[in-house]
Amino acid sequence: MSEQNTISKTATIKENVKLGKAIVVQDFVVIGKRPERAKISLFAQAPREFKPTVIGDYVTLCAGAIVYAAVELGNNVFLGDYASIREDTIVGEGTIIGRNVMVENNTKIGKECKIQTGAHITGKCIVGDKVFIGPEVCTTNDSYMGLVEVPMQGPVFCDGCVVGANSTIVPGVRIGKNAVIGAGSVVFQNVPDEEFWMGNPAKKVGTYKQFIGTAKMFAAKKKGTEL
Amino acid sequence: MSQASTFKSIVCEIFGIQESDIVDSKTPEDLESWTSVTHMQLVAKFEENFKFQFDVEEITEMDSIANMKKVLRKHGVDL
Repeated sequence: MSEQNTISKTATIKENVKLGKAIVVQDFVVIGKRPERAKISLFAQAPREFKPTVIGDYVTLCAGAIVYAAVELGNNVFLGDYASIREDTIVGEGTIIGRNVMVENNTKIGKECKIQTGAHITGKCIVGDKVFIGPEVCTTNDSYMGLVEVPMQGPVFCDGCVVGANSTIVPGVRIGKNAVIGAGSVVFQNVPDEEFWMGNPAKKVGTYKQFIGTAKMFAAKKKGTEL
Repeated sequence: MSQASTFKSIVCEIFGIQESDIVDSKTPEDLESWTSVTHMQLVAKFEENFKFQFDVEEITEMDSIANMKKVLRKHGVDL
């Protein structure tokens, strides 16, 4: 494997960026972008210094991806087309972030996660290792939608949990270790370790073990894996 | 209620079928309502009513009514 970086001529690499080796940077990628707030933003703040943006070895940044200032991408991270990683966020080694995924600021994502197309990972969210987040999953961090001033806190996804497509996870909720959330669920309360929840509002329908056993049976039968 | 009656009642309730439809040869291909979700509900009901826990392989093995009974009998359910 070549140790050379492959960087498109149309990519923009801002100041204060540290690049590893064997990186692929495709067309129109921006690395090290400073955040810009609306002039009337409630969160307007004085200009500040950012830590360096660090891109690990063997990272691939596909077309149009934007990596903000003070982001750290571990080795072998993959960002799909138009994925956007906001400032002060860490993404662990071997994590795959799909096309059009938005990861907001001050978020920590662990190792070997898979975050699928179009998912929205809110600010101040914590994602453990080997977490699977399905397409268009939406996470939020403001319980009162701007009407009441409260500290923002995104959900916590513990190691190995799995969240089905289009689910919504509200602020501060903890999705336990190896928990499974069925597609289209709206999760308003903590989900214990090793449980399978689904629905709106999401409720317990089984265990991780039951989910795995059932999934294996239906995979073998090829009837469908609609869990 | 006997364990056999409880078994039939659970299968009928979860799959929405008549007792006469509980035939050993039936598989998910034969019953439209036997989906991954109802399979999990069935497993949860068996565990709750017969007071034991399946392991993952057993849940996978229950791919016909006959195999379902076989696994339940292994746990001492009198069918």
